[in-house]
Amino acid sequence: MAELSDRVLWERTKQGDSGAFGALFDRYADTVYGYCFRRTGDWALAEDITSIVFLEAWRKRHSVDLYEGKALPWLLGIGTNVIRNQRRSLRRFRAMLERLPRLDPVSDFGDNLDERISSSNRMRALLKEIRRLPRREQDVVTLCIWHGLSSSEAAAALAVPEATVRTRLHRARARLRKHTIDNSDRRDIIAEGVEPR
Amino acid sequence: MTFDVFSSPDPQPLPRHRFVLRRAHLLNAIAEGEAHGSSRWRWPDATMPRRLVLAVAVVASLGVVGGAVATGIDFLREQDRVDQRPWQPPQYLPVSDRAEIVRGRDWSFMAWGGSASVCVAYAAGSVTNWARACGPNPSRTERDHDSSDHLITLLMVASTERGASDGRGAIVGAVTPDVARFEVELVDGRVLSASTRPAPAALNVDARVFVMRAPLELRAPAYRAVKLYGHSGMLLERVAHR
Repeated sequence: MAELSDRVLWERTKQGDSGAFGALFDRYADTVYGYCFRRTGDWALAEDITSIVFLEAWRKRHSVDLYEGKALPWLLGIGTNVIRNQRRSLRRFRAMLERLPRLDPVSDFGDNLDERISSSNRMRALLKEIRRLPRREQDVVTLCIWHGLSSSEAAAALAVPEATVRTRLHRARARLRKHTIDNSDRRDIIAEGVEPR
Repeated sequence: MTFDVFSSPDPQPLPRHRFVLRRAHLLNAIAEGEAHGSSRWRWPDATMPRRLVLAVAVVASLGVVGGAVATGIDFLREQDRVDQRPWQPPQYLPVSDRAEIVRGRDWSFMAWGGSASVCVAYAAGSVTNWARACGPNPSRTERDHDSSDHLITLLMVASTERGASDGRGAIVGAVTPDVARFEVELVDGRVLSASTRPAPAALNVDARVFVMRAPLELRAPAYRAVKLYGHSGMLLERVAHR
């Protein structure tokens, strides 16, 4: 099933084929997880939100046609909405999430806990800067600059016209550049190394 | 290493065991008809006894997890097969059981007691795509790499050389029991560190092991220095690359 296109998997998903939906999870769970981490700076929260994204995708499967047959923009669009309404989403799915074992640092050892903690600290510092932007511009920065979506894919993810994405991206870039220059003597805020212990 | 607002830390994949767990959980929820997002999580059939539904869910979950594991490569068995080839250098011959310290979907970090020391191996992608190293014995009767009282063996594998599907290479190794943290400064300026953990009892060695996975482009020399920290956080030793 891994070789099937998103379009075929999605059509099967719409017909209730959970195996096809599982294949989409295999294909995109890591990307959605990375996106959620970059929006929250929190690995555990990103994991919960990833689960919610796929549950929401399953719930809405009958009403959605994929943009150019690609599932990822739509999944990231769901992720954007879930993160925006984080408290409500987590409350809504709380019962389901509570049935999962909590994160266990020891068993996560193999995936380099220290590196994750370091990434998390760096991401939070970065998010502090990004959150100076209007929320709509934060969305396009994350989708287009950090995740490499095209403006048309980001438009599909956010359900807005492509021109709107381009405008927001242009404004966001200008604001970020200006802010970076204004704070060039405060590099410690936006530049951070992996600190040796 | 620095970054600015136009870049962000590299995304990392879900830890593999969490990936399997989340996937099984998602499919169970779907199977139970729970993915409707109501504020209360309903059982699929009010007339069905809860315990029965739970039992079905657990069995289904085990099936999915078991299936995921079963479809993976048995790296330990493959490592055994490699070491049984006739031309193997004697130091790699196992004198203890072999243990898989940790594994992902398509990679594995293994260790065993060799005839002279602790041996480690890292395999990724396929069974023929593996690297291994044996260091001096923890008793330090033999030392054939950088002069170190604490570093037993170190193996660095580039992403491009034996990368897993997530595009990462690995730094794995073994240290003496008094080392709680391993830190390496790469030639590209990055500093990576990891906690150590006791080697599995099956190895029958008094040592600790560590593993770090990251995108790695390694060229000789691969690192500038290694630092080893004790359980109190104190620096025990700095080993510069010779």
